[in-house]
Amino acid sequence: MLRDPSAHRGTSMERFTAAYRELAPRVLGYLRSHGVDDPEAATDDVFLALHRRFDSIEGGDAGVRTLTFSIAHARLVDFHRAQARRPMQVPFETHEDPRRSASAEEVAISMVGGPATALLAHLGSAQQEVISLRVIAGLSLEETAQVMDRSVGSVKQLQRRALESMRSLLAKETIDV
Amino acid sequence: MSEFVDVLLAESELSDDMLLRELLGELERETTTVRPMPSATLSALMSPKRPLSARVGTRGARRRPSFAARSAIIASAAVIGVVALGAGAAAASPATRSAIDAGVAAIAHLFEPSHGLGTHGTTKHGAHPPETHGIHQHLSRFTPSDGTSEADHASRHQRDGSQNGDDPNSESNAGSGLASGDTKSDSSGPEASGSGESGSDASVQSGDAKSGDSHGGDSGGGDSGHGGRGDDAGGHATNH
Repeated sequence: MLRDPSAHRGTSMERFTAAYRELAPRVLGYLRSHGVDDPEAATDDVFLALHRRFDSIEGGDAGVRTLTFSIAHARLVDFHRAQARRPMQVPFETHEDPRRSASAEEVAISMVGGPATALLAHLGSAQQEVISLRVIAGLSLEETAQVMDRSVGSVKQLQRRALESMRSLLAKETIDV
Repeated sequence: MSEFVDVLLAESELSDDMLLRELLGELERETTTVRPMPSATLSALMSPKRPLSARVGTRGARRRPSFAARSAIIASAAVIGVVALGAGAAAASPATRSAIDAGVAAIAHLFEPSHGLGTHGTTKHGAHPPETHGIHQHLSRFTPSDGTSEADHASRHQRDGSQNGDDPNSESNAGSGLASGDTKSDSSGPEASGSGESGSDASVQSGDAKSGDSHGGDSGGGDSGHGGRGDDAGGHATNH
């Protein structure tokens, strides 16, 4: 299970620091896997919002985790709504780029986003959300249902379908390779 | 392999699927390896604040005590000093105590007002030459500043002349007049040096303001007034 984010008992600031150290990589991965263009800034926003409510959190460590990813989920929804209002962005075409050596961004992206993350992008948004909250955020079934504002049965069904899709995609890739 | 993946596969009854387990483990590792750098605002929230007292202590500057505190310190030091002096005096020998008592009595004696005036008048009175009466007889005509008219002064002079001739105790009366008028005329003596007129003016101001004239008139007539002005003449003579 996820290590206790507030296992370091002490002042509020110390517990918040422990929660940041434990949860920040997962929040960053969660936001990046969903295509947020500036995931580090969004992660900062999430933890600044968490800090304002940190002293009033109930439910212990599970409550901290759930609230953190609830805020991250809300930021993700806001991002996608803002994206829908913006004009469509044209992706960068690599074959039109005269450069032949890999840029620093490409190297960084290749280090961060591997084949598993690319496979996640083939899932539907709800299935993608469930898998990322279960695997990346480390939330339980009930916590995931709370974050997504769905029932536990619905989340369980989405989870099962997502895993079956991933298995079929993986089998297809294996056959292709 | 993370426990999350195991729990997820167990819930979906896919615990035996090793390929899927491997894929989900890779997904978790890929997304959680990068540790974000907190912003400056977030770093400030997570950095321990140094207490104010520690900062003051490192600077090494102590606060100066307030005015009330300093006053209390000075007052207490003064009280302790007085008490120590008293204790020392009490513990001293009887000779020392008597010397201290004598000193205190001498200081108290100097501050008695009647004592100072009487001594001063007596010594002056003894130094007055008797021939100054004539000068003051002459100058007494220019003493109308006490509010009386010229006619009053003329009648007073006539009365003085008759009393001078009749009163056998004129010297003693003049002396008593000097004693009363002396205190005022003494200050004007140096100013009156060089001429009788100025001296008389000075004595007029001082003598009339006081009760030297009236006293002289009551007790010994004009002699007392003359005596008061004669003191100025005496001062005049000594200054020369």
